[in-house]
Amino acid sequence: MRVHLNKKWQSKLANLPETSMGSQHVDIFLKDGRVIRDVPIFNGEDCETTQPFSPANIEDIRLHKG
Amino acid sequence: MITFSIVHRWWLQEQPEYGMGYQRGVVTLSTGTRETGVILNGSTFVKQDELRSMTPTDIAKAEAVAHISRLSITNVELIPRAPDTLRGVRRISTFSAYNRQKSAQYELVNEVLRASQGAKDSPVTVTLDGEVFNRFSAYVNDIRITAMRGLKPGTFATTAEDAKNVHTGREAVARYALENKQSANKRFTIKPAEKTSLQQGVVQPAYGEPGGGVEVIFVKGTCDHSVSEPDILPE
Repeated sequence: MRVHLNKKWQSKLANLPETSMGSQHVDIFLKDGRVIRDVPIFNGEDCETTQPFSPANIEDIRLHKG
Repeated sequence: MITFSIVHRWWLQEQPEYGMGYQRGVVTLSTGTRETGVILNGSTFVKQDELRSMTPTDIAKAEAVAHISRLSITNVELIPRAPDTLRGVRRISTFSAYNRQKSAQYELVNEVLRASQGAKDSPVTVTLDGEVFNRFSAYVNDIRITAMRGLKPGTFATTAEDAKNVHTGREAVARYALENKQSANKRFTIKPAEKTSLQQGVVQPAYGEPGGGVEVIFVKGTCDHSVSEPDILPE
């Protein structure tokens, strides 16, 4: 499924480097304590994930390392 | 047929031709075997006996899919043309500043690229005056393009030369091993200022795609007004 991120996170991702042409791999830290690791985000706005979450529940997004 | 890596292609384009449009050489394959054959356009190797049995149509078709080969070339030695076969041919010697700069950059990236050919692992070099690049995207409003039509730091693209191999959005997905399977049929043209920092390498197979294209990363982005509106390619 795809989750569309809001403007706040789009702005943050726009200023982080890409992982490949058109995509970034990130870890998403949720307010409920979950961490969704190594998920691709396309054009800094569309998150491809098998773990459903609400964009409002995002605490932080960081580039995945490794 | 097997496509040469960008390192070899850079080197080959600085070497003399054997005849118009081709060179002859001995390559070492990733399996360790050595093969003698012909190098077409400084980019594709074909074994001597294979070439004899191919029609021009066969060659064109084989070149189009050569990048899919599981084999890769680890070394190439050119076979020089015997001087006595060049009698009567006038030798004209020029070597432009552009070529000298390209050679210097080739030497710089050569060692690293041999170990790992992705752009991320390559050293930072700079663009030359007039170099043109393209970026393929599934999005008209590509988030990597600034309001002043520059590229943000850490943005990927490809050389205009390599982009000539791509005629549809699906071909872009395959050649640049794009993770997003939506057609990347929006083609942006990038004309950075001279001495813009970039890393350059070859797209490795990934996400079920063969890769094989050239990828560059604009380490610090590009200047304002360097990115065009997109051309829309077929899906």
